[in-house]
Amino acid sequence: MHRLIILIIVLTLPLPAFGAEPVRMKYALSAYADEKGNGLNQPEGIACKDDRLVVADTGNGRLILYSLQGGEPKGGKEIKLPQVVYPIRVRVNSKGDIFVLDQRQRKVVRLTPDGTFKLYLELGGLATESMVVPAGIDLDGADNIYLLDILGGRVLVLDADGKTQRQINFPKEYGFITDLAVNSKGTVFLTDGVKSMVYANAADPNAFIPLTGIMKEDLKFPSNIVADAKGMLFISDQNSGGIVAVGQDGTFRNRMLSLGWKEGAVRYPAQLCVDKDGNLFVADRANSRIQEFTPVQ
Amino acid sequence: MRLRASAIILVLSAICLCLAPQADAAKAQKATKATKATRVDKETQFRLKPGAQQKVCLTCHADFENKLKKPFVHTPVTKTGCTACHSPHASNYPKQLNANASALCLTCHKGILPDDARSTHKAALEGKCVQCHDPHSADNKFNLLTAGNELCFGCHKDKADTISKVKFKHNPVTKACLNCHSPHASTKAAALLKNEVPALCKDCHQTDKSIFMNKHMNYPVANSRCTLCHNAHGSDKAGLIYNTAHPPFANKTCNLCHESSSSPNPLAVKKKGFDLCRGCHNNVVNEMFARNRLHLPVVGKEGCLNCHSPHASSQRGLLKDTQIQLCGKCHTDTIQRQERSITKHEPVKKGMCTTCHSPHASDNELLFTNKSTIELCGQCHDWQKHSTHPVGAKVIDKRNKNLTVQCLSCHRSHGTEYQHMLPAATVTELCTQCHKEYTR
Repeated sequence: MHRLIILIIVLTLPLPAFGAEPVRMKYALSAYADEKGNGLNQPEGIACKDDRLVVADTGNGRLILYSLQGGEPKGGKEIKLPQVVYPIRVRVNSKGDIFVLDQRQRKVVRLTPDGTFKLYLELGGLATESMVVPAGIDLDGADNIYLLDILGGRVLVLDADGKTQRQINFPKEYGFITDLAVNSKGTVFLTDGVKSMVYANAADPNAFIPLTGIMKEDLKFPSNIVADAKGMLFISDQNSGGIVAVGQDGTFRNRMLSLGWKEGAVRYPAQLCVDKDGNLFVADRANSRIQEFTPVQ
Repeated sequence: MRLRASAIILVLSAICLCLAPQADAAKAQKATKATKATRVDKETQFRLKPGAQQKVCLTCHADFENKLKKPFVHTPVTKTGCTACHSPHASNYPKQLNANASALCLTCHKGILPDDARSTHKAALEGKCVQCHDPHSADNKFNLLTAGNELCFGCHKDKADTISKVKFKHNPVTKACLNCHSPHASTKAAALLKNEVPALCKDCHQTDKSIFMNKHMNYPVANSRCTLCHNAHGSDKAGLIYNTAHPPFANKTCNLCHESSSSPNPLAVKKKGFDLCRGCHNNVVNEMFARNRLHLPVVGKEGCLNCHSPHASSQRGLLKDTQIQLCGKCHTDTIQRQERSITKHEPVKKGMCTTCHSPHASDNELLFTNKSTIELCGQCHDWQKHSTHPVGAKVIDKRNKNLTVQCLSCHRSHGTEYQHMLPAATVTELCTQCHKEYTR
């Protein structure tokens, strides 16, 4: 009898209860300038850590440090250094150190939390291929540094001090790898701009395999990826203006936003970050602003 | 005893062999009789006039009488008659066909498009069999409309052009396209090739001969893809080398890039990625690295070879393909957007991507060749400079104080689903994004 009741309950449950819930975000705010009112110009990088938001204001060759108060960026201190020429990606470690990927110099610059130059990341002790062209950067919970080396066709894993630990080669048959992200478990994800796919090294830490199928219908040209604290992946669709959410198991969870000038729309979205409250920040490159989206429960 | 048994078997085999053709002929006779019988049966059953399935048709379609005198007549026409393919009364298909043209031919010619085909002829795939075959009769074998290469050249005009103009011709190509290509589909290779390259080439070219080795500077290229260097359709260069040849290749100084032919790994290159090309093209690489933005494939694992052929090419600048094909390999969505767009942008339509974008590096957004979008568009649209909506560095976009008004404020250069490459369905909808006072 008990079994029959359980069976009836299971059968009467709505089907979506078993499906993946779509991720939804709503527009919160946009920021256009630093604390002095100087406007952003084609920002491509953005990083969130605790109550700090760092923006790579690429077109102006500078960084801007905001503080997050109640999820809102406040202030906007300009950091302009001779060592940072053309910043395209930024990340912040647990100590507040800022890592800046400079495309002009093809180097990673490490700054102190207040934005003072500390060092260029030296990449020594590589097993193969000494030359590196970094195109993406992310950090894990232990402050290990993950670099996307497109010349070597690999991800370099460095410890918190920047010493090379190991490398993970790109998957076989990849199109063109555009970015990487690391989740709290240390799983590395890669976006393939040409194939519109995501790869992960969850099964084998030393090898990437496809996490998703080809997502051309929903994702035209994935350019940037970030993993939030819960493991959800957010991916910028650079060419058609949108953000796609993918579960850590590779399930498609939603396509959000549209291409445009209005607040809430994006043009050529670049780097993404998610703060501790789950708010998503987007470097809205061609609209020369950053935008914040809050999760809808 | 054994001998006797063998003799009996031999005699029986001989009898079988002698009877076999007769059996076939008997079968054929039987089949013809059966067809005739069916035809007579139908004529009786439906009280049809004698010859209703063909001869009656010719009373109106008199021109077919001569047509059917041609040497090659489609079998159903002779065996079953017109009704094999046409309905005598009414049909849902053009020309009163019994089925859709694509499906109709495949009812008999089932094996034309194999399930495991690696490449298919577009005309065959789309069921446009009549582009090559006459469904009734023809002067040529297989009911082909014209004989030999002429038929193929009707559509493949570029190939016809190449083959007729080139100084050095490839003998099998001048004789028949079908020497290398299958007409309908190929289960073995792309481009309807009868086999993969180099296996196909090896049918004629002996790669183990010393002349082959000498011509290839003793590099073991027997299993390399011949068409990376040779134009199988003909060329103005000896050896059918593509018209644009990389100087080290043309000068046979292979070891500038490759290890020596006597080394253990002779085909290996001396350096990886752009670093290899830097040896000669240092100025190009330095110029590239002096820019803010790099086209990242240039510094990818394949480096320059992502877009350029290292040996020879039919394209200028040793490009691997036409720009639209080459750029479209990665930027598929951008090319498709243009294809869907109501208004076409000429440089994109013509595949001249480098008119606006630098293929290597640039200081400008989207790798534009000019910092000012207005100047860039003005290269072709020069009227923009004297009569236009206010544009320029001093005109702030009312939608966003960080932006100034320029061409891309109102147009998407690779097209949209709306006219004039506008990002809005109507002009009003677009203009009122800034001029809100006119919103109704």
